[in-house]
Amino acid sequence: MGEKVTLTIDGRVITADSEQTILQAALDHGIYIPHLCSHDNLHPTGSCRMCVVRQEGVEGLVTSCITKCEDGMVIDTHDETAENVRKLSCDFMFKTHPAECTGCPKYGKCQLASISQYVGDTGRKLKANPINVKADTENPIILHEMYRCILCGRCVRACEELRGVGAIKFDKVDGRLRVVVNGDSLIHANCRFCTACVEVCPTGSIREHKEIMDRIEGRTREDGYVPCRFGCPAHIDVPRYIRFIKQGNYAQANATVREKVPFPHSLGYICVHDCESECKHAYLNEPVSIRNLKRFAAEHDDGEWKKRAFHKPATGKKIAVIGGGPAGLTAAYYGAKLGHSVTVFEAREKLGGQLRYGIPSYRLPRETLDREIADILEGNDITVKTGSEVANAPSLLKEGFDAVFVSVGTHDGVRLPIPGNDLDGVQVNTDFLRRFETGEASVGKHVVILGGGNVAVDCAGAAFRLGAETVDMACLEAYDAMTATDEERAWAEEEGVVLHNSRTFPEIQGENGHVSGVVIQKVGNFRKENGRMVFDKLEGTEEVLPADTVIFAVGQRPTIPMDPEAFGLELTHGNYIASKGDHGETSVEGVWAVGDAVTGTRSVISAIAFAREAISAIDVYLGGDGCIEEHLADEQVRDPHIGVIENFGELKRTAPRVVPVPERVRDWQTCGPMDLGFDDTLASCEAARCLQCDLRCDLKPQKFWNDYTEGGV
Amino acid sequence: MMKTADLRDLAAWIMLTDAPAPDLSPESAKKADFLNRHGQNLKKQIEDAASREEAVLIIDLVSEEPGSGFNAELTERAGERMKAAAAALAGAIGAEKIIVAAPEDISWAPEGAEIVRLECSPVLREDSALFHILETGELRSCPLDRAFPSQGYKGLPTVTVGAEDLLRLCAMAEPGYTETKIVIIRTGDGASVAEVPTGTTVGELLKAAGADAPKGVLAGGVTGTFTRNPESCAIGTGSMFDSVRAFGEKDCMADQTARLMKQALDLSCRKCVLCREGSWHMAEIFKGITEGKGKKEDLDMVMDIGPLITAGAFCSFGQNMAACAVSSVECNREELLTHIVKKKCPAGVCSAFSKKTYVIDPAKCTACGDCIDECDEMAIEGKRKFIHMIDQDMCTSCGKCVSACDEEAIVVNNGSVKVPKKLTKVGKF
Repeated sequence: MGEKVTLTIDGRVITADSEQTILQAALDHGIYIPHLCSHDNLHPTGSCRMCVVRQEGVEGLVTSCITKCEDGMVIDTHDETAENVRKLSCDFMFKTHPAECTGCPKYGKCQLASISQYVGDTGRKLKANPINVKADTENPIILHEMYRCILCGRCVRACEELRGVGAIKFDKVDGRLRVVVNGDSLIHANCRFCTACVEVCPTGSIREHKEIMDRIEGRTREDGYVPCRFGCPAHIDVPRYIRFIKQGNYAQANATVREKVPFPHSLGYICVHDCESECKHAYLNEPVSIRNLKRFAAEHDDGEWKKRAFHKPATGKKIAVIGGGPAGLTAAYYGAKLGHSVTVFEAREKLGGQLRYGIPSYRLPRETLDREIADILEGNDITVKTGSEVANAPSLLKEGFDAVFVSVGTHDGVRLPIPGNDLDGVQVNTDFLRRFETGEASVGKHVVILGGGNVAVDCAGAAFRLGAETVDMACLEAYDAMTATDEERAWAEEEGVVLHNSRTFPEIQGENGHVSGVVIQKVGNFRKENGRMVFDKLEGTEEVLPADTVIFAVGQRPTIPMDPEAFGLELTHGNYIASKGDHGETSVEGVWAVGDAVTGTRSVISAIAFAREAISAIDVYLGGDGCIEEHLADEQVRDPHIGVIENFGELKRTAPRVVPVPERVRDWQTCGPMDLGFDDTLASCEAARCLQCDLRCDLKPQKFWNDYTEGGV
Repeated sequence: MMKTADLRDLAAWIMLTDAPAPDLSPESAKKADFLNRHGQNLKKQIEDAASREEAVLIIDLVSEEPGSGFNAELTERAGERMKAAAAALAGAIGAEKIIVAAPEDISWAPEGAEIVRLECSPVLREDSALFHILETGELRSCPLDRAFPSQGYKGLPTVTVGAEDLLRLCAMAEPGYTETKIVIIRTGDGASVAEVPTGTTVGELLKAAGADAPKGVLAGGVTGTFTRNPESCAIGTGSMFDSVRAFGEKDCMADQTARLMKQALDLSCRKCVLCREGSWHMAEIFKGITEGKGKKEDLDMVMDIGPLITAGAFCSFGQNMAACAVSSVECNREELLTHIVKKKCPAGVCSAFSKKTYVIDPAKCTACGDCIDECDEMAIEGKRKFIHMIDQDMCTSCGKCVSACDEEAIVVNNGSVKVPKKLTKVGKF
């Protein structure tokens, strides 16, 4: 900060800081001076000549973006010569720029068009001087249509000065100045793909590929620019915690995750990572291995975050939570922190829901799950009633609870209505996995899994671990369209599962009442009509997979205790609980329902995110402010100067350490989790791959002349 | 070395002298109360640098148009005096580093100086541009305004001088100093070097040099101005020009201006819109005029955009190159209009107006094909039994086909020969 100075601009006396330029001072006071090469985050260069003004007592025009305010200055922004210079500069730029605006993807958001609208058309008959350079769409993420470039140099400054990368530069090509890639491709120019160049480009010259543009269309700036955070149902601040990991500040990384979810470590093992599906690094090669980074951070939890967690005073209100899975425990956790007294009714013997009874222990160690549940219960007013089934949800309101939170999950496996589905040796996914957890499950030598999702993969893995010699998996979907994630499908294949894609299974065959095989048949295209699968069977492709155990893994339904009618809530087709609002409201006031029982089988992270919204709504219902946001991690300074990393664009996704196949199947009860995650080195390598998309949000959004009129003369 | 101009009484050889260098004390350098080559007060620079640590002395021998030869001439004629001045100046500011920015063909350098080889460019007359190119190798005029005071080269206290500034320092230390300016005089006979007292007019200078009543006069080069009244154009120390050029009847002013503007386009650092695009439009307009494509409105356009470029360009290079174009229209309007309206180049320089139009007389052509074989440009169209035709867009008027034709059918058309517009059989036209 400099001194306070007083100057006059267009007859208005304004106070400014002597470190401010005339342009900044004018804009701050709502006085618009046209400017194009200037950008709030970049050093001014004074090259576009749009911001020239007249200063009393000074010969010639003054470039307002590079002239600092001085006491007593008298500035005229509407000086005739200055205005004519602007018009000429604008004329000149348009003579190199395509005349047709409507075909440009930046149409309506172009600063050149906006400024030309402001300064006005002179009608000057200057010769056109088009830039004959083809569009360059070969680079990932960023595309260049430099025939639209007006050489304001904002992109070059953003890349060089701000980011310290220098992947693009000015160069004379055939006697003409151009902005060019500093190498034969952005990857070879060590581009960090931060898209700062895209953000600052005033025209349609540097943009993101249409696919990316389309994806972010309609989102807010923050959501559009940071797709991983947007993609995460709980909106965990992914780039922030990855940056903490890169800084070696692992505990802060974990605290960042903690701000949004009470199960960071468990999620680190089993999250379906929607964030990775959104990760822009996929356009370079593969997404950043976010889940493993999360897990790595959780492994370095120092508990310090607990000191910053909010705890509101007791409200005297009581909340009943039905179902102690991830959604129910999340609701209990925040509900108690909000000052309410929470009672969790869990039908099973232990808390955890799908985390315990759906996901096998070789994927999620039970000590991790138990510790996270203990953290939730610790010091909070939560009463747990296990082995306690609630027959009618609304009745709890009459028993003294002020609100009821239903999160019963989907623990009923679907047994398809095909011949042989009740033969001895036919099991269903949920039952099988629950018994796998309790040690009661068994399989034969030849197992066929029907279904191709992540649960099917878990069933297959469990079957091998129970001693199956062969595991076949048949599903309707083609290999690339399977609902299991690529990663989980790969595990299954590594362990020896034989996939039979694009198959239907018309019949389970049996001998003496026991399963002997499954008939599978190829299908053509399939689609859903009125909720039912419709597909063409290809004649003559039938084959029989010999089996002594068949496991249905084709979906799960809500566990509505005993009598659905008696549960007291309006249900939809298939016993799902009917949702009456955005935050889990049900047909009964005071009763909320979330999780798989409402949405159908989704994911742990979706359930947690949904539960956060619902508990917030419940708090408001109970008279609170509904705020469950908390700052558990330190403030983070985002350094815009990311610098050069050699071959950055070619860094490959870091694979976690995984226990090799014979061992992880054979010794599953003793060797710990199959996936060992990252060590320090791997985590640091992987964290370095992050594109830091969030840095773009720190760049000031582009403004137009009509944005400045407010507060003006 | 160039010729020494014989200016008789007008000459004042004070800076360019063979006399041994005077004994310069660092103190004497501090009296340098004049504007240096970059338009900065040298005394102020010296005082500032002397009061701070790590001062740098930059000797600028590159801020001239390529081919100017001004700095080369000075270093050759008075190199020792320049060294003495440089040593005194370095002493005065306690320079820890001396940088000589020089083109390949200048070997002069004071002892201990670091030589940086650069191509000559008048853009480097801006301190900021010179510092920037020394720091980064990139020719680019940079913000240098009151708000962003020049921090000097690499942010160090810096004194910048040209060759002439050093010679002036020497001259000032000697008794009987009068202010002079060194100028290169260019006429049809070549270049010569002169030194005259400031206040001498360009007219007096040219008269003394024997270039009496030239058709046109250009004070300076691409950043200079054409002048109609050389008698009222006084030479001063701070003037932006090192040379005065007199044009004679053999020179075409349209062609000369077109060359200057092409040079301006090539020399522009291209950073600011007005100079980058303005020099292109100026070059295109004058090129068009020399090629017979000029329109009257072109001159209006120059007078319209020129003053605005001068008012709005980022640095003095852009401002002055536009002024050069404007001054050409002002001084050479008649000759330019002759090109535009009468489609003639009075000096006979612009080849577009002097091109001979060869045609094949359809009455004499026998369609033998000899001319087709002879033409390097493939400008002759024709097949067996069809009258051959010359494509005037492709023809370069080399005349080779004339001698190849045994029928003497190929002639320079004075308008009397009518030729077919499409392939026509021999005898049918």
